Amino acid sequence: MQDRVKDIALTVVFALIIGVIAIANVIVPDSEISEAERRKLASFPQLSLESAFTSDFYISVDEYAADQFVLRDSFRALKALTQLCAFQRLDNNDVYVQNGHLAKLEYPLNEHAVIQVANAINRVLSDYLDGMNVYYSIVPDKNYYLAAQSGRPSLDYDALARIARENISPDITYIDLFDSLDITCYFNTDSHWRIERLESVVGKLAAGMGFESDFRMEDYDLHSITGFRGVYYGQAALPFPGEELCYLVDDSTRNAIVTDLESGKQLPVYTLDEFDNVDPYDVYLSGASPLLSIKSGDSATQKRLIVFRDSFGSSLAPLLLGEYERIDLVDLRYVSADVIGEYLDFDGDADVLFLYSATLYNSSGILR
Amino acid sequence: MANQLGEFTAAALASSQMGTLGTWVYGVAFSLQVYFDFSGYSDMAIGLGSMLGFKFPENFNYPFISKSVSEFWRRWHMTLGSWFRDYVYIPLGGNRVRLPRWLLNMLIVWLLTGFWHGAAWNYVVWGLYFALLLAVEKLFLGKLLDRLPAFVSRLYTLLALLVSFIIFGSESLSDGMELLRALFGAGQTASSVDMVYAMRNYAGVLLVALIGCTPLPKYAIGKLSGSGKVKNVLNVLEPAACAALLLVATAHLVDGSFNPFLYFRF
Repeated sequence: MQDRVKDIALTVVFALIIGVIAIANVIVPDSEISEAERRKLASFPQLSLESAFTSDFYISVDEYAADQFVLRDSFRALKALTQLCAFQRLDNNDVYVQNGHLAKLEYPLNEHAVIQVANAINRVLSDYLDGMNVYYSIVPDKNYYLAAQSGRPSLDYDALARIARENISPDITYIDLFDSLDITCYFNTDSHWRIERLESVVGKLAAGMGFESDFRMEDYDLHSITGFRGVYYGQAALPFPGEELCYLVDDSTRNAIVTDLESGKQLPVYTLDEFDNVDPYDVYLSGASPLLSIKSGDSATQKRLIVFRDSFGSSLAPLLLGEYERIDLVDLRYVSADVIGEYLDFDGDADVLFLYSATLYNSSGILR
Repeated sequence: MANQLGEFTAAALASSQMGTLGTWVYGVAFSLQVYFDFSGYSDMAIGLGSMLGFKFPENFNYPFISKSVSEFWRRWHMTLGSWFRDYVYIPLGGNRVRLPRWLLNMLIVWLLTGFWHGAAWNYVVWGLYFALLLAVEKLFLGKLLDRLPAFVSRLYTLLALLVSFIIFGSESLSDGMELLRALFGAGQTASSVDMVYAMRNYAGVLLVALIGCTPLPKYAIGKLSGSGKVKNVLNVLEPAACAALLLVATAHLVDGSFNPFLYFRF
């Protein structure tokens, strides 16, 4: 009798779960984007007489079903907790927790990719930067500080630096930032560094690029926004407290004029509205943009700086506005080096800094 | 379980150096991956058929506790074994023929079984490998195994199966041979950093899989159910545990399309 009751209970529970989830999936409208993964979610593929007989159609239906599953982020969280707690996994989808930080595994070193980045830098040097003072730096990713101590594989950073040095033109001076940072200089839940912890980096750049820097954090007004959860938070699908995202204001940033050279629009140095969007890090210079030009509100010199950069440059550039009257930011991930001459003049004297993260160096074909 | 074991085996094959230990762990993981995949969807078919009023036969019966390869094939993919027995082996005369003819019958059945799995040389070799083992067990080894302690017979069987799964899972014969050589210490013996990490990362999954492929959980629950009070608790826990498993399995499926934007990292 008890077995019969148990069997009925099992059947009812099973039917309820399947039924409720199925009905919910039909009723709940599809979502366009995943904030956690920062991408567009799959929509139902086009059904036609031809497509119905191809495997691609059914693969697309599979992807659609998983992408648009009701309570997707909650199910992802359940999976993450099962992996980490029940199976004692060291990472979930390559994202791991170490010393209160979320980070993503990056391994192995792609030597070919490093050479590609070096070649891209050399091409820009020869095409545009004649007579300028040119420098390059590599921003270490969080794995540099976290992976080895926890027995996780990471890039061979010595090899990365060596290959970059061997392949980047000797006319470009290397400024080593590896010792200017530690893990506390990075957000807990994001890949990026914290603007309020970049004093050493600015000092190192000043020493390497030959500008006088009396840069001090205390000279800035520190503002912060609470509740920042970075890119790894969404990917990890784990409960993590929000952090403070800071921005630093002084006369150089307050009165600066930022121009998007592609659209012609003028932007603030810090776009606070972006905090509520998919990527709150876009507060800095409104996020990813191929070409920006910033006129400082109050610089010590009339010098010009051109930064070929990735997203790390967005939070560093405001701290250099006290030194440079004009800072131009070029993101070769979004604009080809062949056409930047149509938007920027490369005449006259300027300092040039190629500032890319270790993960960018390790990614093939990223720079155009 | 199979998907996670599959992630491990893929990571192992992609590692810069599996090493000897890594190759053993890979072999075990691959064997378990195939088992959970195959027995899992066999159980799904049995369950779905049952819901519609069909009774399908069981296909797996804890094959990894076998004490001989002969016993293994009475516990693994039982429907296939029965089919070949009924439609190929017995019509050819089975074992009611003279020794040379019986060996030929075995060879034909296992060549066909190999081909049934795929039209590639590694499946042919795999089939012939089992033909040889089964013939040897039938001729003299089987009687010896019956007299040995169970753990020795099981160890022999597991080793024989590990070799068979490595042959079965290889892209080509040469890949299979290379893995077998690595299994027995030839070539680079040390495991690379990423292989060691993969083994640590999936150790929990492997442990659960190793326990789950045996009748131990079933025996444990059977023993506990002897007591009336415990049985009452289990009667409540079973539907709850099944519901939890269903939700966790769904969660793993949903996460399967996880695909973050490339540029997020920088």
